[in-house]
Amino acid sequence: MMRSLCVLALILTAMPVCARGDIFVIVNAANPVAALSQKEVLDIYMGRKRAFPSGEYVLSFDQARDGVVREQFYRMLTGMSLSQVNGYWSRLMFTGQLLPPQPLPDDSAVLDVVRRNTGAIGYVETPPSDNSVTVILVLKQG
Amino acid sequence: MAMLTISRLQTRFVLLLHIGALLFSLLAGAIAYQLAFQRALAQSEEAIERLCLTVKTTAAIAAYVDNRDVAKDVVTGLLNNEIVQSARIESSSGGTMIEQRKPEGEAIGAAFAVRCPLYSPFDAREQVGNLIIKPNQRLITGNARTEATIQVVILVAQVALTSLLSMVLVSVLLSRPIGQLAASLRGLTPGSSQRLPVPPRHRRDEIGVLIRSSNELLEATESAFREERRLRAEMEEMERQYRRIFDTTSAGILVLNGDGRLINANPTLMKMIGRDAHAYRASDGLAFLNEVFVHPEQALELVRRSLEQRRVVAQDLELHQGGGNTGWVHGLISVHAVGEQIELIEAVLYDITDRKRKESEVRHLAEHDVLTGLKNRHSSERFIENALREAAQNGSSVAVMLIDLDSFKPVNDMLGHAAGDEVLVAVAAQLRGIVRSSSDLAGRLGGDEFVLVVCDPTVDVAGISRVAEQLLHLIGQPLSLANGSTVALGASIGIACYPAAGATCAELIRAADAAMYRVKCSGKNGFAFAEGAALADH
Repeated sequence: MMRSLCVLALILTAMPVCARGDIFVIVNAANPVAALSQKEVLDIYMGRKRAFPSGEYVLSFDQARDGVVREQFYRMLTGMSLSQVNGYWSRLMFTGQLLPPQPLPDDSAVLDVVRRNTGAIGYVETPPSDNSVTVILVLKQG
Repeated sequence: MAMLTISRLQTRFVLLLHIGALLFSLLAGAIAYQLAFQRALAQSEEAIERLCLTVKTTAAIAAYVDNRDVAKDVVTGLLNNEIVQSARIESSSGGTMIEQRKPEGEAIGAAFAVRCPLYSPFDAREQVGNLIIKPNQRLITGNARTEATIQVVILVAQVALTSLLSMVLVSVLLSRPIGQLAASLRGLTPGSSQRLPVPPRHRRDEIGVLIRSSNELLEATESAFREERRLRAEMEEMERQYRRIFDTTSAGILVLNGDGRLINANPTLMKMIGRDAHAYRASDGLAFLNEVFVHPEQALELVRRSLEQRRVVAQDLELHQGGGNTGWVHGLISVHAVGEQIELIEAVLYDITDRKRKESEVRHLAEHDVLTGLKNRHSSERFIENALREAAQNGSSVAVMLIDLDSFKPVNDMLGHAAGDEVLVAVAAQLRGIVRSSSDLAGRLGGDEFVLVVCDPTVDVAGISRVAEQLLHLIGQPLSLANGSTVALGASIGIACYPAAGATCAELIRAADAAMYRVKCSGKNGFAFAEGAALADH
């Protein structure tokens, strides 16, 4: 329903109305982390931190590489455009030691991976409807 | 000489120019070197800061994610720049993530280090580390030195070139024309009609002005010389005229200095004094005056009067004329003096010897009896008056003896006037023989009457009587005349003595005449004293 409206709005206004929604950062429900600050999330996604405060190794997941969600996510998290974020990673990737978060095609793929890995972290544009994942941060549009 | 001065001027100019240029080069070179050196250093620092900026983003990312590989990559890249000696990235905790340095830089202490703070790519407030770059001091300094040296070399070359150019230009534009002008001027004769040509290229510049001014000066000099020559000729002519007057005038002219020494004398004067006056130029003081004037004190008195009265004074003066002769001149004397200091004494002398001689002849004629040469009556009386005046002052006596020849008339009548005159002359000679001194007088009062005056203070009646007796004896001697006849005469003598017989000449003569008359009456050929007037009584 919501999606249809969003699509409708997209068509009507030729603008990514839906992209203006909040972004929900999620982890596996088994992860003891209840909440993370935006900076902590940023440090994880930008490769600075590779472990949760509990010490568990982080597996970070991205959305579709050129997708609206990803664009939205990074803009809200870092204030950077996708190309900037890509540029950032391209500087780091050639070392081979650091890799950017693994991209997944959509929300369901993200949810699926997070449900299965306790160290996983991901973000979705739709608030999760069950308890298999924990929302540790909501990036609010604004 | 002029050329030397000019060349010295040029040398001095060149010397000063080069010294100035050298000093300026040294000073400016030192400053330029310092400035260039500082600028080169500053440029190096800027270059390093730019390097910092270039790698800052990557370095910040490396520091942010604490990735040594990325950091190493940055640092290695930096070290590729030759001006970078070492590069280091610190993490925010201060620990060194990576540091690389060039081996040869170990020994060199860097003058400065560029320290660039690294901020999180996502949060400009969060410092994630530092990038520290130390420059290659040796290279930078070397470069700075090279650059500064080039600057200084250029500067010095400019200065040297400029001073060289100035030297050449001054030499060509100033020194050489001035030198040529000086040489031309030196070749000219002052006062001649020679002039300097103005070269066309200097027609409008200062050299031209200098040449024209020199020509004006030459012009003025020439006309001054001409005028000078004319004046000199005029003066010479005038001097010739004066010299002619001086040499040919009938007046004797002499010039003495303040001490009385002869300075100049004309030929007429030398003729007057009968000797070469110039011999006296060397002799000092009053030698000339003393030897030339019979009474030099008169001449000196004239000089004194002229000095006192400030005018020409005149007097007749007697001169020695050489060979024992004396002559008279009328002298005009004027003194040129400053205050009381005599500078020059001028004397103009006119020969009046002839006039003086005539005067004295006339006077002699007037005073003497032509026949006998004795004083005549008039001058005899004057003599007596003078003698009385003197006797009145001295308290002495004067005896006046009147002598009248006895029987002179028959001689005159019988033998003629010539014989009479002969007798008178003979008696006169006898009287003259009796007169003892110039203080006594023998005179002829007229006819056969004579007078004898004795002015002796020691005279007394006895003395006078002896004189009278002697006289009677002489006159009584027979006298042979020219015509062969012989005559015997006698005389009656009356004597009057001052002051007993009278106080004046007339009284004395009258008294003597009376005494003589008594002798005539009592038989002639004798003498008698005026009555009551015997000198012995006094």
